[in-house]
Amino acid sequence: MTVNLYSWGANSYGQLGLGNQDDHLLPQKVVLPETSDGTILNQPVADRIKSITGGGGHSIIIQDDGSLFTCGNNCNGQLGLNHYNNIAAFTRVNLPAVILQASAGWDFTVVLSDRGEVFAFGSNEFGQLGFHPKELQKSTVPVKVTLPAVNGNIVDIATGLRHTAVLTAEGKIFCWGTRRKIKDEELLNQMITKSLETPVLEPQDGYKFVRISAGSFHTLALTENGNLWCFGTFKYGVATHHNPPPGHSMLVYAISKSLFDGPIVKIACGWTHCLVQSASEKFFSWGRGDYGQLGRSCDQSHDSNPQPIEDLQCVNSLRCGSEHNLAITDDGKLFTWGWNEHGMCATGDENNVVRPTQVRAVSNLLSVDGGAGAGHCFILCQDKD
Amino acid sequence: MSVFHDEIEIEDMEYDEDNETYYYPCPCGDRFEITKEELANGEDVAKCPSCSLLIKVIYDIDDFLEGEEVAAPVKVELEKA
Repeated sequence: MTVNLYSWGANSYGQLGLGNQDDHLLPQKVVLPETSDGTILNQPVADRIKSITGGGGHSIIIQDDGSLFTCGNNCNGQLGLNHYNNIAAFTRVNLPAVILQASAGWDFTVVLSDRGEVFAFGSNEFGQLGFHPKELQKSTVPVKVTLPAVNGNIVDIATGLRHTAVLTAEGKIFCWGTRRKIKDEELLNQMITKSLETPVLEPQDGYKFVRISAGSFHTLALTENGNLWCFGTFKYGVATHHNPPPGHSMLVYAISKSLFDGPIVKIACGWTHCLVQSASEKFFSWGRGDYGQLGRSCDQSHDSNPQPIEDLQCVNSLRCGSEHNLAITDDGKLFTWGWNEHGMCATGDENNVVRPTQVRAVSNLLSVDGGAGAGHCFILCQDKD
Repeated sequence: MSVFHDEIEIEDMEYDEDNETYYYPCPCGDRFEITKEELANGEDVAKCPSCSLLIKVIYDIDDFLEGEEVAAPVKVELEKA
């Protein structure tokens, strides 16, 4: 058995790692070294890939030894390679730490080390790297983000189009970056300093936050007793029954547990839609649905009421792109749904997919992981030799 | 009639001074774009070069006409009429 990485979807910047910039409607095998003899390679080894994720037009691989590889759009240094050239093949990033997790925003990247440290690179136009934009407009190399108020480790990270959220071992959440460019430098400086020092959310009734996931301008947060909170700015009903007027200041809401059939255990966000799994293995979706993002019927452009996705069961990993979704089941099947103009749903055509549909083009999946960028996808497959 | 992917305020777009163009993220990974000149001419549809999606830009045209040369020919046309 050989492990292979496959990619498909939008590829304007070489984010599929295939060595070209052509879109692909069906999964393509990413040519990588199959095994390593222990020497440090500039490319990831296929059977040592631990996780894959994507940003707007770039992609990130973490290998089992904690090394990081990137490819795709590099206009703001989001590949962390000390230059601004787009690269169409996964390339090793020089980092001073072992990396456990990566999250890619629109044009920036945030990574979490095994010591609970956060490093970031790419655009800082909105303060999304945790620095004042006048001090650091962008960075082509990883810079360490320091949170003065945090005792102990960071345990989870999430990025949107222009913001970063982190979760501490104490169960607190911090968030920095702004929705729009703030021209008043003094005000912006104060906002960034405050966001690094003051948590957006702290444990609720003694229950810590344990997981975060970010959409374009909002973040969803899960407590250890299975309750959901959201913060950010909201459009398309992503804040469920809360319906704030359009605005740009950050709002924080508890999402009513009466909307679900019990505690929530898994969360995932697209740009303006949310997917969650309850403890009873049911999946619920809400938010924008006009491209089929919700995986269920949705008469309007969006549905702020969480409703079950009936066609989804035994899902091991759930990943959202901007307007499309991937679900890998325990028995190694891949299901996709949502926007499909660049073939993100791997159906071989460009028709939107409104219900979770099994991808026939790949089989024998390792049920470990898949990944999605804005308009592109990855999957790890165990292929028969 | 076009169906817009979204309606975006000009203040939410990123401006590149070198090519006088406003940009906003497209869900395909590329960017919607519209030039300052197009906005001054009353064009409010930003297009993505890589896909079919369009956004409507919410802006005040007066902000783009002020001190701009494009205002002059319009005035001349009106006088002729």
